[in-house]
Amino acid sequence: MNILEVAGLKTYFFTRRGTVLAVDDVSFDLRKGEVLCLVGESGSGKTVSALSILGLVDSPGRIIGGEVMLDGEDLRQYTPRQLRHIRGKRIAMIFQDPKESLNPVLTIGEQIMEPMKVHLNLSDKGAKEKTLLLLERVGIPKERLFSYPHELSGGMNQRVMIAMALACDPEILIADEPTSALDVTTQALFLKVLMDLKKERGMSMIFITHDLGIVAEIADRVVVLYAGRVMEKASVWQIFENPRHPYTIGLLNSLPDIVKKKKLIPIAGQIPGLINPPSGCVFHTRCRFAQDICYRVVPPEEEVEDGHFSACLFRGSADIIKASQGERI
Amino acid sequence: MAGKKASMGGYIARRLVYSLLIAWGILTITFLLLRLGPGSPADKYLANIAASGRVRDIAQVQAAIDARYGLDKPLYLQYVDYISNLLHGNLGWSLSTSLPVTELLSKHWIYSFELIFLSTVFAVLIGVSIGIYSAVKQHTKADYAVTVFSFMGISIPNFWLGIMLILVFSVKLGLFKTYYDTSLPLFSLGNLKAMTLPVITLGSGMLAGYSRYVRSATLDNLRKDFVRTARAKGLPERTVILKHVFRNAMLPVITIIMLDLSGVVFGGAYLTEIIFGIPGLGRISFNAIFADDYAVVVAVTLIGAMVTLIFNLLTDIAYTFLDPRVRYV
Repeated sequence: MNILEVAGLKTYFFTRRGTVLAVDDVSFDLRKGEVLCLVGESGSGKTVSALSILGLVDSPGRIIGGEVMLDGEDLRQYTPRQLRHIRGKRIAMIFQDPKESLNPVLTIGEQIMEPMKVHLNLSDKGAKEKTLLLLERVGIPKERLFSYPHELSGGMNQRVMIAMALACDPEILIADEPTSALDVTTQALFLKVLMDLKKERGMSMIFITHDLGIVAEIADRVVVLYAGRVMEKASVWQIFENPRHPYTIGLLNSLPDIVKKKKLIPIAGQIPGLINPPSGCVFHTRCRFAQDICYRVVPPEEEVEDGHFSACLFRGSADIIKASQGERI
Repeated sequence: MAGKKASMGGYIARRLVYSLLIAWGILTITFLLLRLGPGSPADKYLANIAASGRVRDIAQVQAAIDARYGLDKPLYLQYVDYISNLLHGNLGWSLSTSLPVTELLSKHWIYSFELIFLSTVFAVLIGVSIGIYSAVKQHTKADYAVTVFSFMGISIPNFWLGIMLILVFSVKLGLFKTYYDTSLPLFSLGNLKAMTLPVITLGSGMLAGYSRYVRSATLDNLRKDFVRTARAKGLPERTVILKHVFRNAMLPVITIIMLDLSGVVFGGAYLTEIIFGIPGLGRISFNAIFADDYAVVVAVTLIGAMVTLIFNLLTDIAYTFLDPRVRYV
């Protein structure tokens, strides 16, 4: 069952130099209890998509189209006040850089208690008790309640962020590259705490990352974004075993594999400017299989196998797959 | 925590010693500079006697006065005398008013204090409020209006503003007296009314400055990641601004306000007191300079220096409470 449905989302940034099509017609579903990974390079629209769900896009950005359905209700029709009661209560979000994402002049206890006081009307005492439980759950000693963010390590701060996000038992947690500021050992501990809590509470999760290793580890399903558009949507197995879009294939080819010792093949070129995105398929400027038609036609998303969608005009084309498999060895 | 307090005490003690040394330096320089100039505290007195025509040998009278006030001694002995008197709490004798300087100061300081205190409260309350308001409403007509008025406030010299206010509100409209009425009790509505124009004169420049500083500090902090976190928690926008943004934005502004209190305010208060005939320290120091009344000028300068040094120290101490990241060792 889908708990969240994003359909035809368009979020543009109206800058002086022109309109940036940061998210252009993006659709995906989040099923109850699953981990959905949004994958893509920097600037692919992962973060903006997530922020759009909660209506947190800052000016000059604006959501200009699409629907965000939470349990059958369109959050885009909500007033700012109604939306505020969704944030932190039903959908919580944690961010990339934990040190920057916490207020430097407030204690972590104060910051964790805030959403409980706002959404659950808890007293100071009640909020404090619950905060101590949460801190214990994420593995932070309770005397840290009165610590400030600068007194904690990056990993601890990120666990504070989880405690804060879980303060009101949200149904959905959006995690925006929560591990990219952490070193590898801290990352592993953080992911374990996060996934344990997700299971415990039966939360659904949108996890944004560019780290395919993490995707393989935690994802149920994957949405591959490029230049503000969806390239491919599938289960994590389908993505890794049977990628059906040249961009996904490119991403996988730039991933080192210690067993096969295959050659790394980076995707040539850079993500295009989104003020004047390429015509037709946005990926055609970097696609090694691009044909004339790719310059003219915007490829629709089509189901290539059960629950596996590809936005490539040559989806499943034997040539591409053959060519790509030739390279992946 | 105990360690923090102990090192803080040591820090304050050290700063107090430095402050005394600096104050002593300023005292010495002022003392010497005044005596380098032409004229002597006895000049006016002598001129009066000479004009009366009752004394034949003016040189004899001058010698008598010089001997009486120690002006005939070598400079270093005058200095030693001054310092030793100062250490006994004696700031010297004011020749132009025929009063001990300590008595003169104790009679007049309250007027300066009142003017500075009221102006600061006025400027901080209004300046900070409109600073936050115009930051939140950035690029709206209200913001532009505030900007224009701020630049007017900063650009208009307060002596000119004072004279214009007297001209319009006292002379033309007759709302206020054209001079400050010293017969009013200090804590009365009448006195508060009499202080209105002086407070506007002295406060408007500060107000304009603070509104600019607060606006830019607020804008800086509005862009910070922790603001996005606060919004993602579902906090009301009011809480986001007045708690999360404000506490961080005020950190740099407090330095400016505290330094203003000692520097700009002291200077501006001089002029304002002179324009409105308020018998504060500025006014008596102004009179003393024209009368070559060394003792008064040195004493007022010393007070100004001490106030500046103490406010600097207070600012640093205040920071340990306002910004948990600041520690002194």
